[in-house]
Amino acid sequence: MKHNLVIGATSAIASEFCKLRAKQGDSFCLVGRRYERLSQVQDELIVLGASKVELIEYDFIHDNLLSLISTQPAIDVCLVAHGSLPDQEVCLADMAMLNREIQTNLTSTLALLAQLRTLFIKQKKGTIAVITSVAKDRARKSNYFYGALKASVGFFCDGLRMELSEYNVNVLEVKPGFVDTPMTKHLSLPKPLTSPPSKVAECIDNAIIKGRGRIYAPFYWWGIMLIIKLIPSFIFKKLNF
Amino acid sequence: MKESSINSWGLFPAKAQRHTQPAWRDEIATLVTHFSEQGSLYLPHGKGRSYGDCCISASSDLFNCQSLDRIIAFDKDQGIIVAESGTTLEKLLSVAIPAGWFLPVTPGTKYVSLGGAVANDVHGKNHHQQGTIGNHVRRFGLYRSDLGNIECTPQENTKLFHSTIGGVGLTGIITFVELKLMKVPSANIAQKTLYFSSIKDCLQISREYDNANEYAVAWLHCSPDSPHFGEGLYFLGNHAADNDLSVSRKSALTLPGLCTLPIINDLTIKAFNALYLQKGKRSTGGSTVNYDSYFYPLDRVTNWNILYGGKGFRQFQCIFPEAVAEEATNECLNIIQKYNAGSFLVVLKRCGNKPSPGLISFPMEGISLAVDFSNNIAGIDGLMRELENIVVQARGRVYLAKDSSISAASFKQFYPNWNELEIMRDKNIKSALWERLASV
Repeated sequence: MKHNLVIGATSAIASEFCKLRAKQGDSFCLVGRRYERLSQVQDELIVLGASKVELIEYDFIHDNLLSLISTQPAIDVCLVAHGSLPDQEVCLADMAMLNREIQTNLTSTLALLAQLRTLFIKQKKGTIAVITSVAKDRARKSNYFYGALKASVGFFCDGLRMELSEYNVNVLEVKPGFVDTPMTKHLSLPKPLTSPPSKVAECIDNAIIKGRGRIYAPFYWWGIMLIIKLIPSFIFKKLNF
Repeated sequence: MKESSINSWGLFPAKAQRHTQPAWRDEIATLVTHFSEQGSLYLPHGKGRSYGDCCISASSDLFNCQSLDRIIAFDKDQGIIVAESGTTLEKLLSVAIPAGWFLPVTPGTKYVSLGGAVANDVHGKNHHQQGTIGNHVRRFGLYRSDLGNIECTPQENTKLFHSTIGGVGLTGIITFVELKLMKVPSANIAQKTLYFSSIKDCLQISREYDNANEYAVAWLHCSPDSPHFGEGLYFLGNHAADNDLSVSRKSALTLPGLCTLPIINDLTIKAFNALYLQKGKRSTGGSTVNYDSYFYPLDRVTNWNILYGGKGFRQFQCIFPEAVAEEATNECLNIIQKYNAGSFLVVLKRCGNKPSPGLISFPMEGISLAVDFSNNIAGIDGLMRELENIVVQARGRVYLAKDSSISAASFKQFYPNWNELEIMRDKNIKSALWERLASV
């Protein structure tokens, strides 16, 4: 029976991850911006078998997570799953939107990871799992802004992984491909390559158990991204995707 | 917002629809207001497992509730479960079974939404014992463009309670449902198979055995040029006494959607029917099977409907009052033979006299007949019309969840309360079915 701190717990992938673990009787601390939605996730987790579910409303701006979770038991897994998919066209034209997305997807994430670092160094055990994206592997015309934010988070995770390994703490970076969630509802994703969030949650769970450092979710995206990364620039820049 | 032209199970009629799909109940209000401001009609939509046009919008907008699929509460002692309307029956079973509970009523697939099940007031193999799902609904939430969020029980918003059950989505968006489950000793079904050689025999078995069994249904051999046409197998079932409350982990196959050839056709139907009857005759007697195999054999292939090919298929499901059932059923078989319309799925079921709380509800005390027909059958429209006429003359009914072809006049005879449902309809909601049948 493990204790899970889930940040961005109302996101589709995070909810599915919690549901998976609830069936094993795990306990949870769910962190998110909207208390009403967090409590709907809480209701379901309790039905599914969670031993205890606490809620923390957090604005992702005031960087006081450590004080909010100071009474938590030892955390076995912290999943960092909050985020948004920015409209690149809009963000590159509107500086307020640009900064808002940087705050949501980068600044708040690094601030959280820095705070979690303090906690996990003290604990000397557990896993921090962070969801980035296959978008970070190579810049694409249509979403290099999003890719840049995720690439930065991924780089930070690489460093954090090296540092925290000395304290018996693992840092897992999860790179999902196309996932069918509210975040991507407006996109036309190719059906054969689109996974349900429950599949990604399964991949995360397995990777945590195996102590993996970086994974693609599902695994076959490793092959797809390898090809994408190998395409020479003079061809890649002509591709429209 | 997604666009799709495959919106109902029969793949027919094919009408392009835009899906608006909220992820949280608190998003419903804004989306409905948006529709109201545009003056657009929409239709609540679940899993789209109705066969015809009752789950297709009269406009092109569907209010897809599939992502509203959270379980809200479960009282394991009383067997009362509360879930959002997009929750599938499969998900409900996965939670209910380990606690010793089962759906009191289930249709032939577990991949329907709870809201859809209530909107069609589904019935199952135990209608003679438990009635329809409406008989087990304690409460539900409804979002209407004129009233906002309300709750309906037999005592509160009573008219809406009754008109929503079986109301094919017209009275508002069902947001959640509270359902009373059935206590069971096991998820396995002890089944007994009997062979019959005629409709008369089948109905005799039904009169003799149904009341002593929880579940009862008959399968009919329906290849018109076979000597075995009209013979069949009668399946009786009860929950076993073996205390096995394990949830089925059978993996389901999803066929690649590339093939539009009709795999289900005259030849394959003939072959299937011959084999199925023989297999059934050889294994008459008793056996114990898990609930998945007993209730949901077709769910092993999640998209078996595409096997009918690009044109799709239809189901004719009707019910005849007891007094005329044998004669009317035989007349239907004669018509089917006349059109040489083979089918691999022909089901007969005796329905009991437990009245549904639904204003518009399909079952009555009598015999229900359900037949799947490929749209490739020559003269299919004529066939459906002749079958419809038999139902009109017999003063029976056709099931709206399966229909795409009956006339408005027949509909009004089948469901004389239709006008009351029209009065209770949310005026921003309309289905293609309602436009076809209930336009005043």
